[in-house]
Amino acid sequence: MGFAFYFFVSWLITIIFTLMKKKLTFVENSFLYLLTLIININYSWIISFELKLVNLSKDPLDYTAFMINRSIGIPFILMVTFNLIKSVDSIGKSVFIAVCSICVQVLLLKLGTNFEITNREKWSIINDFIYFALLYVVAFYSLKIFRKFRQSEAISR
Amino acid sequence: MRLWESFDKNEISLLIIFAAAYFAYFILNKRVNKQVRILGLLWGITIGILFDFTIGGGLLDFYRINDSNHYELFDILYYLDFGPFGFFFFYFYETLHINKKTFIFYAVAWAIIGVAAQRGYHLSYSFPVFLVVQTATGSFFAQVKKREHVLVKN
Repeated sequence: MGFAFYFFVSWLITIIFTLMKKKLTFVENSFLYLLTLIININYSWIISFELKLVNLSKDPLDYTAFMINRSIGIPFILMVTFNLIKSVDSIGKSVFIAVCSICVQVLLLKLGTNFEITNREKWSIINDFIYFALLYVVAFYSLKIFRKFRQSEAISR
Repeated sequence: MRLWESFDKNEISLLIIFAAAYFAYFILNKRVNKQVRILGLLWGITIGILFDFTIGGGLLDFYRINDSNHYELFDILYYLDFGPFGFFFFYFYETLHINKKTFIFYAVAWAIIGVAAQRGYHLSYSFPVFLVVQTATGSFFAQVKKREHVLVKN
């Protein structure tokens, strides 16, 4: 059940991203995806396999569900969020979108316990909120710096 | 985090590759669009991390990074080593004018280089992994090329 759920969520967010009118360029979206993936993979590895604060299921299908959310769900939700933020004109709306997105991300992680994919007895939900808030801030400022590197010079072949 | 399990040839070779690869990266990158050169680095690092933390650890543990399955300082260096190679793939794809006819040779050549650089990992696993990675990298870069000027005037 957990696998079907996370597969559906990841499929849905990928389709939404594909069909939505994107305000960021292909290169900027790729940058966001790669950056989020690096941070998220390391974070989930450290809290589960190094510090053993979150225990993962040993069932292959459940473990795959965790991988799908880690590598597709979380980064794509962040990318959809940033494209939406770029399309609104006020800071208030941007913060609202970011907060809603973080709540969805935390809820998705929390549901992992219900599906018995993760065991979070030694882990507080507050930590998840802090992690996602920091992830979004880091991604936001990294993207801001990355956008400054945009060049439009002609090809010099 | 431990620094290393044992400091030997493995760690020394990582340091040498790191120095050589980033030296070459800074020499070559001047002709390349700044966003594309950053993306090349990030692509290389991400691919290394994605594969290692998907099939190299956890439930699917086909191989070991450096000396142990735990995070070591040199693991970070190991992943940073991948970065310039992502960029080199982009760079030579562009400068050698790789197209639909030459892409197969280009991807296979990179896969062979990748296999030759690996140790302690079975060829029957690593060659298919490298082929998939090189094909994905080529497809990704083709999309970047469609949208951005890769080579720029200094």
